Amino acid sequence: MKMRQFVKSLFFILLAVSVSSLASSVAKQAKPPVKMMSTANTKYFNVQTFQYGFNPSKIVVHQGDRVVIKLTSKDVKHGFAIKEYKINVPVKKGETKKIVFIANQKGIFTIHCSVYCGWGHRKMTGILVVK
Amino acid sequence: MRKFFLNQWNIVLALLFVLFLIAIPGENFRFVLWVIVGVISAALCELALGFFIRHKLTFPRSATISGFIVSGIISYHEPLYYVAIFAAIAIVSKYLITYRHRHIFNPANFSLCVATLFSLPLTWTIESNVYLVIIVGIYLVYTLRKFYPVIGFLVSFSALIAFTKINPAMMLGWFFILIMLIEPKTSSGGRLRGLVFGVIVGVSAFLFYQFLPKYDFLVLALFIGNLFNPLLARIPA
Repeated sequence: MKMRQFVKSLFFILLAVSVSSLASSVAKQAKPPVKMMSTANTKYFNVQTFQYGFNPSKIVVHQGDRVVIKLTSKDVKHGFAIKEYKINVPVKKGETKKIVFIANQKGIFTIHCSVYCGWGHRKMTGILVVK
Repeated sequence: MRKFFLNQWNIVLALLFVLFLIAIPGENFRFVLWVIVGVISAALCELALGFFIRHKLTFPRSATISGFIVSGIISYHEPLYYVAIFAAIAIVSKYLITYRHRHIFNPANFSLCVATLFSLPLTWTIESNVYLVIIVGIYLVYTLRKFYPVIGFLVSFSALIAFTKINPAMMLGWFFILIMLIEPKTSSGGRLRGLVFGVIVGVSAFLFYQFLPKYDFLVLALFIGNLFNPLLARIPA
């Protein structure tokens, strides 16, 4: 009986700690600054991932452009995935990854976070617009 | 009405329906269509298989739950027929992959594993209100007596994630922990069995997170846990 009470207490303590940390993480979600530069036919983007979004959240290029994305993560591990372009790049906190592709398909494509990153993971989307 | 809510399956069904309703304003009509197709496909598949294999027709409650979970987790930006296929995979797996007349894998999770291995994005759209999930989830954990798998998972996964200098509370999947992990037929109960089950899923989740991040680490980890479940059943309660 004491064991059961202990387990129940432990369960609720763990939940309380987790939920309070979750609540505190909600408060600190400031968007970092964006840097972008381009040369002829090559577009460079610095994309920062964070809970729960991409900055910039919209990438606009022209068909035929070579797109170079420097990807970083501010907090936990995230993923940068565009299914139509077969891109799925995970990035750890503090790490920088380079994504290079040719924007050969016209359209509007959804960018997903491909690594589950917490309760707001569902909201973590961006768009790639290829004109 | 009161009788309806005395059954845990009905509570899960009601929770999923409410989460679906909460998610709608933030999404679009395609999400609604996607979920409806998923739920109907799973229910029809269950009715058909139940009729041909068990020769009886019953309300497909567990299939409806599986349909909600599958369609609520796979990205609804995919072609519509995908959700019908993955809902069907969930139900067929329940009848095909069995051990001693019981299914081994959580049907919805099995289907989600196939989806993630085929690189379909799992967006967990159904996790539309984390506070509601936590409140109802705790009630389910309490009534189903599934403290131990939850504790095993929380402790092992949090401890390992903390080693990577990440606050584990920032990335816990509450829908996964409090709804999927405790599924009665495919997760271990009891003190030792439950703890071991939770630890297996927690450690697997960490390993997948670290070494195979392209795939959804939560559903793959539960797949591994389910795989061990028949073995864990041999441990005395």
